[in-house]
Amino acid sequence: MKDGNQIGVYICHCGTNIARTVDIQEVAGFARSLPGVAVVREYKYMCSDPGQALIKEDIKSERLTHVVVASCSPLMHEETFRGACEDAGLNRFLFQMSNIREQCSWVHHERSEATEKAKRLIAAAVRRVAQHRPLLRQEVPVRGEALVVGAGIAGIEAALRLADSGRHVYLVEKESSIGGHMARFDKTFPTLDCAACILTPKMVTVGQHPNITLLTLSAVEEVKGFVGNFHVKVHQHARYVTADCTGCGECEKVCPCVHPNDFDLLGSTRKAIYRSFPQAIPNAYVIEKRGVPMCEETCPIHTRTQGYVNLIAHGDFTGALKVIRDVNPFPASLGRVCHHPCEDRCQRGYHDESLAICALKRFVADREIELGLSPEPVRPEPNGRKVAVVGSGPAGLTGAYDLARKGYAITIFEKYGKPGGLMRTGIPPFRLPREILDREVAHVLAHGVELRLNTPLGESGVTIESLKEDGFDAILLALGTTKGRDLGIPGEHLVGVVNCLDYLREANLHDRAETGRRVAVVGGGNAAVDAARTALRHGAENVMILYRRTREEMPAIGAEIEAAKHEGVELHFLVNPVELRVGPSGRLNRVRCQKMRLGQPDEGGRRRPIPIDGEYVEFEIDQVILAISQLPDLDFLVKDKDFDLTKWATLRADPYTCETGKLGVFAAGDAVTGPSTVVEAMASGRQAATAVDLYLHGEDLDILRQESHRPQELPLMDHVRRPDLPRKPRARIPVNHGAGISFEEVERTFTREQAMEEAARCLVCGGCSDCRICSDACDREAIDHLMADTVHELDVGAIVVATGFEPYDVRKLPRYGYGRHDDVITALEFERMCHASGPTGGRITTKKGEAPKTVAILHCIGSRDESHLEYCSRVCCMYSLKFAHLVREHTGAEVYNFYIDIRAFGKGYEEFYKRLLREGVHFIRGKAAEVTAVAESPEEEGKLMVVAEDTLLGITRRVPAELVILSAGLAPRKDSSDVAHVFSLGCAQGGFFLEKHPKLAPVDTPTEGIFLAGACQGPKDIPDSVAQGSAAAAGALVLMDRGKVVLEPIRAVIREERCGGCKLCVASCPFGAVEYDAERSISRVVRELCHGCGTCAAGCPSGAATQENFEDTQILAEIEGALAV
Amino acid sequence: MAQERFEPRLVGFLCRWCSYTGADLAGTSRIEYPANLATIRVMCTGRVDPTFVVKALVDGADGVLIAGCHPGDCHYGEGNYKAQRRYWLLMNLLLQFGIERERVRLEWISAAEGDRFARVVRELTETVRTLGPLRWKERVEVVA
Amino acid sequence: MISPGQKVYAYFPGCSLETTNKAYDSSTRNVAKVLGVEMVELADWNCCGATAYLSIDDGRAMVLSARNLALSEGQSRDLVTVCSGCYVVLHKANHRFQEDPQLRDRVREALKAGGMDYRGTVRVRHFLDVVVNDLGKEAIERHVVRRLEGLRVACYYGCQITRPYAEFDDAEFPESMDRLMGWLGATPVDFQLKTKCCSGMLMTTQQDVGLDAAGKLLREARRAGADCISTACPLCQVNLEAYQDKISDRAGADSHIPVLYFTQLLGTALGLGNRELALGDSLTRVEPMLAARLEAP
Repeated sequence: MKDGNQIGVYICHCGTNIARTVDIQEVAGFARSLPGVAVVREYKYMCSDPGQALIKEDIKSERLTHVVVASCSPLMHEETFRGACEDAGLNRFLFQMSNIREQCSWVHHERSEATEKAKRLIAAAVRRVAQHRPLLRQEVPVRGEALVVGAGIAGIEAALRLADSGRHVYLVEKESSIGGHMARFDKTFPTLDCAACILTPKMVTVGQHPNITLLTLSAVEEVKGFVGNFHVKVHQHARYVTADCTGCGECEKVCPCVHPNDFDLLGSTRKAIYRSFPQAIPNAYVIEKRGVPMCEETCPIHTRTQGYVNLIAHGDFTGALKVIRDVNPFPASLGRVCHHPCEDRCQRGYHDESLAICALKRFVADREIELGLSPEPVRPEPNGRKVAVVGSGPAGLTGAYDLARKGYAITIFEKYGKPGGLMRTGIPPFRLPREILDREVAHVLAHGVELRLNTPLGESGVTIESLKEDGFDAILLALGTTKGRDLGIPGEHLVGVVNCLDYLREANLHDRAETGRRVAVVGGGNAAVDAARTALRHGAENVMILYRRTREEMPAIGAEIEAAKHEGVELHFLVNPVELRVGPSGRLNRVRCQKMRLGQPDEGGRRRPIPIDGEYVEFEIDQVILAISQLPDLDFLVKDKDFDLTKWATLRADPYTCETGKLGVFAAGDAVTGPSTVVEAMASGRQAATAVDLYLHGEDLDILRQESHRPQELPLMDHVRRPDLPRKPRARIPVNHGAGISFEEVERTFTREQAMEEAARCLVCGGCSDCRICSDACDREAIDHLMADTVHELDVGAIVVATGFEPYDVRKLPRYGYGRHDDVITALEFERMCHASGPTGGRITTKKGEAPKTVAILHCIGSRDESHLEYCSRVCCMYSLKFAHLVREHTGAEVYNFYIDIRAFGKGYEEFYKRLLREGVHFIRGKAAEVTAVAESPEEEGKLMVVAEDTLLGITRRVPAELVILSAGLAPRKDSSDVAHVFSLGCAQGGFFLEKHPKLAPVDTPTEGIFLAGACQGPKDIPDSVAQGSAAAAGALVLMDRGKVVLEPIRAVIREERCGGCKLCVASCPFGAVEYDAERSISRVVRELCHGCGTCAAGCPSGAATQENFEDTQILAEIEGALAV
Repeated sequence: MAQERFEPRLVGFLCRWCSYTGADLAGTSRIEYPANLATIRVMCTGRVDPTFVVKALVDGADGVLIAGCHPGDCHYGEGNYKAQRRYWLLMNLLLQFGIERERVRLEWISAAEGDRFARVVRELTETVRTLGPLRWKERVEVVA
Repeated sequence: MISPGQKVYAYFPGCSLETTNKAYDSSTRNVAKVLGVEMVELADWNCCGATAYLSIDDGRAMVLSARNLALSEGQSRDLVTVCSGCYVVLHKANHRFQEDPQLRDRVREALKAGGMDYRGTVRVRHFLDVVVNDLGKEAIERHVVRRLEGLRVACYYGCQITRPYAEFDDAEFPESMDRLMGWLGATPVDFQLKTKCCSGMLMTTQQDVGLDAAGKLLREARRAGADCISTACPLCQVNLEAYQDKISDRAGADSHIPVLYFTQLLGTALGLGNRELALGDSLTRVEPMLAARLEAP
């Protein structure tokens, strides 16, 4: 306790608020006894001018060094009294307040107890204030820009006020248009003027105002800084439509994707490219993209699957084919032989069955052939560069296709007499007819690609050097795999043992393949199955497949395996050939196999086969086709030291840039990756082509190294979760059984109808199918499907939060049958129903389309209900009255309002209620208990009955109604807690934001510089929301006009002499306001960044860090005082 | 034989944003609770130095309340988390001194939870009353 | 002998299952056996507390319930009952015990007299909850040997199973029993009165009111095209099955329809015989109905 203290203690009666329960005299007496106290006074209202005058007087006359006021909460009047001290020339921080009202007289009834507690609180304050030191307040400038969050009527009002006063405003709105809930309303109570008529002009002004920057589809992600100097991060979701959009709506007409219309409700629909309502601001359209769907994500060449599927559903087959050919020169071939990973995780599959995507692709391709159409090659101006592609398999052809479309002059060198690689030599015609393959290879060549057949890589053909000499700027090696792997068992080189690739090549290229009577094919891949089926077609009487694992692990396409079985191929599992034996004739006649069992899964996830000792089985055969695995033939290439092999004997190339050891030589396809599928090879070829293109443009190939993002499941479409989605019978892919075992193709294509029906099963989980025909339809070229999200960093002086409400979810009250009875609708749905531009064009109707003769309006749905919303939602009574009037006006139907109380609190509201009474609307006082279709008498049969206790008549009423409107209450938005967190707001009533003071500061928040407006602070009608919008704007303007704010000097300080440089404070500061000075090995506080929470002070082991006006000595003294009594 | 009922002396450290405002709300809503707790206002529970609590107990408090914003609601982001960590460290110490865990209580009370504040004070008062006086001097300083 | 990993519960039959509703008890126990659920009857259990006491001195009534809770505490098993009455009363005791310190002290005081104590850790469950949520679709379907194909069931939950404590299903529009029936192959009809009052005790005190209330349920079930009503409460069962003649006369409309416990339908699908499920005890034409609707096992 310092000497010479002259402390003045002032005790407030607060009328009788304090005096009633606290014995002021006794407390005053006690205060006089406290050390350092010079003056003690009590007064009826300390906060009044005379009250403050007392203090000022004493400060001067009694030379007070410190002042304590015991009255209400410091949150209420601390500033008042600090001001008083300052006026009298005493530093405002030599003051302490003692809260003996909110935290004493109002909460304790026992007078003696309250008095005792008041003493403790005052003692605490006196001891504390004795430790106070004079402090100076810091002034900082206030930025002139404002941020308004939420563009409903409250936000719009605030924004306009601010903008009109010359301030720049950033208006952030989550939806694609401003207007909020009001934009959905038809009429407004009680004046019944149309919502649009009064709102639209304001919206237009916002759209055109020079001082307003409108950010739609945006959300505030982060708010930093402090009053007057907020730094805000806004994430704006891409609109995919530029400002050039005139809103003509041509795009909407052609868009194939239909989704539920969440603006118009009532089961209405909209397209993926849409505009919520005609008067939307901005008037531009918007595309709903939910992300990349799994079908596209899992496709190795990332075909825009939903794009072509949905075009098929709408009969635009040519458009569909165009989408496919953007990335895929072989629609007809892949439509037949693709292993279609796209179908594995199709969302439709979660509901019933995945789409037959592959078959759809085939359908559009086949249709083109049927109609004798041929695709137009894309041939840009030659760019004068030459690229050599070695190998004409899927990888090589795709690489050539991509590069040719970029204007390169391409020459393909093919080893064999016909192009196509394994697509031709490996895949038999009954799966991929030759005319199809020829046609699609021809399409690639039609891009000005030159093809040199019978030209292998090697002395007999071309070499890397020769190609370079011939002036090729780059070389793409797509050599594929042409060698079969050996089993390495006795008898492997006997006559009658043939490798699968050679066998198939002979059969497929020259249609003559040496085939035995009893053939064993060893292996489980597609090649094995193809070989087996081919052998049957080449006269084998008996064909068996020997596989060392089980059906589960077979890599071959399931449908192919089934087909093989169907054709009579025997499958023997868990057998592994160990020896091939000759018979008496000296020719191969037996294969001896070890029996196997399955062990643990290997790194590939397939269970590893393990031999069963001593268990063998033998099969009678005269030919063995080995289809274990395949290798590239690189013997020639590796003579050049620049090329080397991987441990799997494949060609080593960079997995991202496809570069080989030799500059300008790139490699792709099976020769690099090892055996894969056609589409995987194509993807590899495309990757290489991209690299070649970059390389020839002298760009850095490292951009190809960026890890591609991990595929993510899109959120399930609602209707997938809903059981009522009709399960259409799947169109089965037709099979040509007539063909039997011939070279004719086995699978047939969809019919037009089948295809369209199947395609229509797509749920468009991507939102937009990305077919991009809207781009063609838009002559302003305003559509940009590749538009990216943007993040805006804004500096503003003040923030107005006006994020609004959402209607209470009436599904939480099943008793009213919403969702079970068609003609039970919500208030919002009714607003849209009445609305001239709504789904019914303003016609009030039942689901069946009849005008209702009786309409029931149920008040307080969710409101004033302890198990739902405890509070009164304030507007429901009035809008229900409005509904009643509209129903009478439009239909003349009988209207029954079921209410608890009619709350017509506003200007002209009661009069409106009276008017409704005169209009002959029935009012039943009693909250509806339920809406039921269960008839209790013959005349109730087939009707909806509203049951309620009429509390005026004291009877239960059952009123039949053809249309029931649920007047749902207003609830906080689901995301309110996140928003609260971003702006550090408090929440009450389950999510409505907390104002600073319910009466005196309704639009301020505890955080200075952040204001509230509209229904986000609590249920409100339009007039009140507008009023708050203006009030919030005014609050913000006060700040900005003042131009500077005073920061409370409660910042942290570090006493250098005590600091040990342990950096605990640095770590504990949430604002990075504590820096470590390495030179002097001490920490320092950056005042501007410090928010004054004191966390560092509490953590400082040496007591170096402390917080001004919350110093240890001060708080410890306060503790002593509180316990001294 | 009616004996004098033990009135525990309690000190509460309340964060200015949530809990102190909540306590004021209890007042404006006139929710009654025992008069045993004297509150001390800090800007954030992050400011509550464990020594404050010990100081209170040494100076004769029978129980202590630390009340701040709910997790995620801290005005300063994470002060309340810091408070919680220090609270557990402090409890380890106090338990070693043989002080009952129930005497020192950490609570999250929002500005809208006046009723909750009142309930917490009631409960704490009751608990400490049943535990009886702390008598730090006899119990701890002898031990130490 | 309880095998490890097997689900174990403390079973609280309650008075009615020993008197008027033996069939509910036997069907429950046998169903549990087939499903591999161990139901250990709570030793020395007493009245759940659903007595007139509740309205006179709930303190004492609570003691009655709390004794049962105390008995099963420390076994680390949920306390399972099939009687919605017992379920709701034991639940209430638990909640009151946690919410109301005075009552808690009073109850513990009383228990101490009996050398017992309760700390409030027991979880009270309804057998329907256990079947649908602890076992679940796969486990049930795995055990179904006689699918109730084509059987149309009106699932009737009554009032107490989800109110006031909607612990495992929606208070007003529960669906767990409907789901269960679906798993068994039966077709749950859209029975809109699934939680409406069966008239409870009124059937004995104000019979005319009772008959009307129960009558509504029976006729609505028939109108919805149900072959039978499935119940989850002994009292509902009695009120619905015992007065069908009276109800029909009174309403001048045939209100007859077979009524069974959900455990009996479950048991049928699990392949249990009429004796194990005590279908013979039924006062309605249950057996003929099942015989007509389902092909013989």
